[in-house]
Amino acid sequence: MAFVRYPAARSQRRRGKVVAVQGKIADFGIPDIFQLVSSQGKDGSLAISGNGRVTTFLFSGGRIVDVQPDRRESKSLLGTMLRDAGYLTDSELKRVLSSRWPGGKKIGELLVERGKISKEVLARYLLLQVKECLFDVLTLREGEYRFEGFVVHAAAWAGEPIRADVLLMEGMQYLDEYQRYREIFPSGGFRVARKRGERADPYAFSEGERILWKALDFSDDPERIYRKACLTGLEGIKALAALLDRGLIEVSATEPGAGVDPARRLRDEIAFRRRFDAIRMALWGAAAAAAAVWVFRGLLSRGAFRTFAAWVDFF
Amino acid sequence: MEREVRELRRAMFEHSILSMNAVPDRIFDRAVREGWNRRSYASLRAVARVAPLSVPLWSWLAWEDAARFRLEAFLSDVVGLSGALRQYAPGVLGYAVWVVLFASASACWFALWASLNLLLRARPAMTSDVARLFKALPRPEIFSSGIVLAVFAAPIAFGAGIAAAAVFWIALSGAYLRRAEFVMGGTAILLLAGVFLCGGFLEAVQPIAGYARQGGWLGVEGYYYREVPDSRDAGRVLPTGPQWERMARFARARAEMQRGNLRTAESLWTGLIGEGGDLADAYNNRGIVRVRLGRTREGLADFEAAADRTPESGRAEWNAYQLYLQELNLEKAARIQPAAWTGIRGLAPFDYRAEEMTHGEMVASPLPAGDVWGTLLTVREEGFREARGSGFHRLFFRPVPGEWVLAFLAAGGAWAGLWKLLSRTIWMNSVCRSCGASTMIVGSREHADVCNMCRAQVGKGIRGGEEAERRGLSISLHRRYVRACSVLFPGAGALWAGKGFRTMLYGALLSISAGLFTVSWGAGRLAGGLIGDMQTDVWRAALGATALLWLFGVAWGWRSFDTLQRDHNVAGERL
Repeated sequence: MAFVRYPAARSQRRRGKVVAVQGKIADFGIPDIFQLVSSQGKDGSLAISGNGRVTTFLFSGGRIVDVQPDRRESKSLLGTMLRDAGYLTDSELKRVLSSRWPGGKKIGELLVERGKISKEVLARYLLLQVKECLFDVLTLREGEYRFEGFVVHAAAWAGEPIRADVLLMEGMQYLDEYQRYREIFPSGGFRVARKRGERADPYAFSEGERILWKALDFSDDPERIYRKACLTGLEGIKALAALLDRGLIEVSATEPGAGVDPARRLRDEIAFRRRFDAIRMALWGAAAAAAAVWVFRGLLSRGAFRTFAAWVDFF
Repeated sequence: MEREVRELRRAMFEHSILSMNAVPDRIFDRAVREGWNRRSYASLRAVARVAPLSVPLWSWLAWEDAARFRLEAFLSDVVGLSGALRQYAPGVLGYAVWVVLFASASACWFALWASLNLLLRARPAMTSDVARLFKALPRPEIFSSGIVLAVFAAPIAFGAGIAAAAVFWIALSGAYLRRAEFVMGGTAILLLAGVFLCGGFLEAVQPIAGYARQGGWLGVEGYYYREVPDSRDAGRVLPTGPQWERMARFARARAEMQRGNLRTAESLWTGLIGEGGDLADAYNNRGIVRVRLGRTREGLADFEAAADRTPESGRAEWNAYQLYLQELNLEKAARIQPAAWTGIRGLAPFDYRAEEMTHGEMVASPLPAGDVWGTLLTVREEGFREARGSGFHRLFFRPVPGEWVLAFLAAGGAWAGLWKLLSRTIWMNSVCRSCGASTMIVGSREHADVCNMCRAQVGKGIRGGEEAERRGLSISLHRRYVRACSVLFPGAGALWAGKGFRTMLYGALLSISAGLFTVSWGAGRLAGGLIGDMQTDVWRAALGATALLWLFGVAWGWRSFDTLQRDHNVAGERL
């Protein structure tokens, strides 16, 4: 099997970087490319484009040290993931994003520095980000890849470098099993909630089930529950299926109209409350102005001050 | 000016005139016309010797001294002012009316400030409670906010008086208040009852003004005297009581004495002495009349009788001393000279200088008005009666009928109390003072007006996501509301921070300065002369003090509330 073939893949030097490999996914599968980079212990970046987005993995010694999802796919961005998991509010996320550029620091590093999250939490979510991005690119059937070789140093604040072959195993499992578990639940959107009055013994749960059971308090939206529990889609849906099998949760399909993104719904509600409060304050302000006129007429008008100046008549 | 004053003083002694109250105002008016009113201080200080009973003059001098930081002169002018107030009846009445008006204006401001602050303090919880009535509607908070706003605006829209509206607002807020705030509301209602009764007092005293002021029978000292009404006429406009009757008769005798009707004056003094009571002044004045009639011996006997009764007054001893000198009874004159000189020098506000009084000047006794204070301010039946149709009633308590005002106030207070008691047994909303979160609660809300999350200082909550977003929004909106209240109604922030009694004290200070502005602003614009000039300065100072207190209240309330939020970890710094 030819690993590198002209013109689908070629090497060239550009802007101080060596373009080692590039080509089409249809010709050379994603798992094979990961395998190649991993087995040769390469340093550099692997950019995979398809479905209108580009995801870049960074390798150091053949291990994945970081991933840069496409900015158009906000779901996989670290800030969005942490916001969905409840570690940040919308406004805090905006503040951090607007302030991080001058120092050239990445968002995870900044959040650890500011004490918003711990190093452990950051490492867990970075791993989750890498996994999700990898699982996502594994589903691509059309697209291109491009590997550029250069020296990559893993950041001190990032977690341990990840072995690509291990992740690929999980990815393959994801491709095989996800659909099977997904079919247990209603097609389209659905919501999950703990059954009222059901008692659960957390010691009888698997690790994933236990974490997910705890996260059910957080939201009824499965995607946000997975985020809170820091589980991939496959891990999350497997745990949900297990809990459903135990009869501890109830699942309901969302109505077509209710399929609004919960975060969007919350933002709309917040915007409404802000608008409503502003209108209410304006109305109260107008009422206060009317009251000021009324007070003036009651205590400081000509009639009133004649009454209050009656003492002058005695002198 | 000194020479003119001395000559005028001598002429006054010859007619037993103690004060030319009209002179300072005439001089000041001229100074204003000629543009030297800012330099008129020295002239008016000299004039105080011939117009010692002019309350406006002493007040003006004291005010100028205070403005120029002349402590010694200020203290001496305050002594002069108090002396004039004790001896010049219109001054006593005017001052009493001023005190009542000032207290009433301050009380009205306090009631207004307190009721608005309490309503705004109760508003969030009240809105949540009203929203419970509209559960079936899609956005109940819109309807409930509208209703609460309408409740606030209704008294204003219907043109109700300030006091009526204040009681209405306090009664509505009762259930949502802390103990100190409730005391504040109760105090406001009590003060409004006082304002209502003060209206009756003013209504009863007001007719006297026409008789008391310049040229009237009470204002005998130094004015041209238009007529001498019968004491019965005087009695019709006076507050009832023998003390006032006697004062009217005394004034009439003084008037006759000054007009030179010596025989009528003597018979009037003899009549007064025959009635008994405090006789020293009557003996002294009859003695002067008798000496001017040529009956020196009888006059001397009257002086000695007066001196026996009140040796400390100094007047009778001085007059006796003068008589001894005229009769060349030098031995007796020498014996009483030290006491006579000391006594005459100590007569405030009269700046008598014995060494200048070398032409046999005799000192008459003024109308003894100082001891009517107690009688004047005693609550009397006519005060209640007159209050029902008083100017205060029309101004502040409309549309409540006069007969029902006290019942209305009592009902307002009772309803607030009942509402507060009910809140201990029924489920009602309580709003966390720190974060603005609304919770249903029953029982004493004093212990629960800071929510558990704020007590635990968990910032935006123990969970992230939507809950934290919602809590963050609630905190920021609450902060904005309290800050807006603090700016418009100073002290509101401190009230939210739980500083009830301190806020009440602040409100009292603010109301006092606003009350001072109210009573001085009208006077400054309506009255001319010394009073107008001084009151113009006073209302400017009062307005400045009010503005400063307002700014202080805004800053204090803002800071107190920020501290409260910081202590509960919802201020944004430690989140």
